[in-house]
Amino acid sequence: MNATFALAGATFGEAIRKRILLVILLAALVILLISPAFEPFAGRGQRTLVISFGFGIIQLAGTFIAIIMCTGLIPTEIERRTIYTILSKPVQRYQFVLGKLLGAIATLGFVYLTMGLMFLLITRWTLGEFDPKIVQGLIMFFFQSSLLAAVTLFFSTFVSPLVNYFLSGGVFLMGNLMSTFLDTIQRNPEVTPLTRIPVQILTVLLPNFANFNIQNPIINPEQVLTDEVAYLVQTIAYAVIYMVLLLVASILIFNQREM
Amino acid sequence: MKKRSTGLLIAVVALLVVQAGLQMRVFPLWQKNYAPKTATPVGLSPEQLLVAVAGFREFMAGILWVRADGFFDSGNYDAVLPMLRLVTWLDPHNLDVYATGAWHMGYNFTDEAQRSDRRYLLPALKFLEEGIQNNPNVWDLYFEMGWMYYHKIQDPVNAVPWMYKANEFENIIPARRHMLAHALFKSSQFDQAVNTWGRLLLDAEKERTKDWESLNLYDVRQKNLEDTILDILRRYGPNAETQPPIDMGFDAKVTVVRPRVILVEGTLNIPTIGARVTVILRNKGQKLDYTPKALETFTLEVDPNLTYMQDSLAVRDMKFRREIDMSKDPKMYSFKAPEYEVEFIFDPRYASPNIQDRIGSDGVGMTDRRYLDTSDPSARMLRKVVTITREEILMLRRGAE
Repeated sequence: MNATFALAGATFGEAIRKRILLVILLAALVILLISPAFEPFAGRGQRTLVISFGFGIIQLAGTFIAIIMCTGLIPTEIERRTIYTILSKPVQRYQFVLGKLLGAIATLGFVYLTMGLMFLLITRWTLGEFDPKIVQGLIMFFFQSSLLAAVTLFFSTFVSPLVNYFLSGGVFLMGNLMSTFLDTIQRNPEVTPLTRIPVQILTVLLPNFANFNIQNPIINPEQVLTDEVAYLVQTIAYAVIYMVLLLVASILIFNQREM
Repeated sequence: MKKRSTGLLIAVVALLVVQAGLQMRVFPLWQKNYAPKTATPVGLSPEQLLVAVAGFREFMAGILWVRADGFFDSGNYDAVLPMLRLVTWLDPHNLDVYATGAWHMGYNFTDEAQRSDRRYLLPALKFLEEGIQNNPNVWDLYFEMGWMYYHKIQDPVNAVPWMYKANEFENIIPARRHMLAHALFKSSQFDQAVNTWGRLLLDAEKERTKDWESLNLYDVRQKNLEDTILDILRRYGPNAETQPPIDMGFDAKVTVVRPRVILVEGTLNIPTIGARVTVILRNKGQKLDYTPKALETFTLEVDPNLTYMQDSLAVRDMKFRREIDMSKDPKMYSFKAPEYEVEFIFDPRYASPNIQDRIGSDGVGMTDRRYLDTSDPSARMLRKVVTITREEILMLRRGAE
């Protein structure tokens, strides 16, 4: 297990030194800082602007960082041939993949902590209040990005980084929209089972990223939610189980790989 | 190696099943709490969709709403409607968009003479219903729905349930509570109207000394309660001023003066000013069903083959007369049906108080030898229907009175 944590630490150290990731993080922080200035462009009060825009920036930055960071995690090691050095030591392949994923999640944790603190400061400063629900939203986005990191890492075990960008981005988009499509289809009595059933299957199989988008009731606090805690717990459990699933699948593929 | 791979494969399948089970548990809660409900992302371009799913939904909705407002200011109403759809999909809890959008549809689509296109009232009601489904825990849209019935459709009976619902909320603006009592009175539920004013007065009394606003609210409610009781006593009490009923001598006729232009005129024996007669021209037998349930889902489309014109005619010197030109708005008045009915209605519920003092707000003090209509339990009305053909209104052949 020490080897896994050592790998995770090395991955984290390497990730936070990457210029591209730092640039994205810095840009997100600057945009968060100046976000109250965008008020004239939005139609609804400052609360909507600051919270919606802030969550948007954080989610976007988290998504880009997760994809950019994880596409290169395994292929770069192979390209640089450092993987041979690592695997020649008493390190199992599963430990290598697990270490990479834990390192990526730790990096995302650091990124979300930095952006989250800035976001909370901005909301406290502009709205004059500290809304604990914002932390809920940030936690959910962290799990969303972590799941996306697991998806990207899974693809990185068998496709090139360039293909992985599009593949992970596509899965993220689909995973965000499938629930809405299924919901629309279920409400439309004219849709035949021939259309509905494949969409249902796809919604259940694909990682559902829309589950983590809980910002709307935070922006509109007058909305009363049903079983909110149960929802949050189940959604986090869903993220963890799906990440384990992807990790096992990644290990399975990585074990088969000739090096 | 092979054994381990099989084990991992089994684990993958097992985890896939577990996550599927969890997703199926999460989905109903997601639908309840977070789904955009009945709105669909139809009409979003790919980049808009990307921004929307990237988490800027409400921000983008705000920008689109500002843009829609710009279209409205410049009179480009057609451009406003699709934006309403997008904005409510992006931000289903934006009450302003539902309220203002329904108002646009209900009031601002007009012909050259500023007559509303009543075909848009149904989408307006459906839009509000969708807003209520998405925001069941706020009073605003229940009130807006009630107001649409009370003011625009002039149907106080159907306004009452919505006003009751809006009144259930603690945080409703105090003055808005009054509309329930007004709607009850107009729908001839006098006892409930008095009870409502009484209850409102008692509520206001508790905080009467708090500030000037509270004192003012108390005074307003007290005056309304007194006026309501006085009106009921004068109109329906002993020696009621509404008795004996007066013969309204109601009559009306339609003359086609030019293609798609009609002259409507008639008589109503009310000597004072303040009475109005409603005139409706519509495809024969196609009364508009003003209930949200009349539409399956919200749509921006209206029936292009339905001609529906409604106007309100002022009565002066016991006569009313107006030339109604429908030739400049072929989109609103397509005249595709073979026959049309022109309906004239005098509804005492929306007459001015001085007229209601004589005939009652429910029409108890009026009668008419030919056109008295007692089918509506909430009020006696005067109603005359004239049928004209397409040939007559388009002057495709002579003789069109």
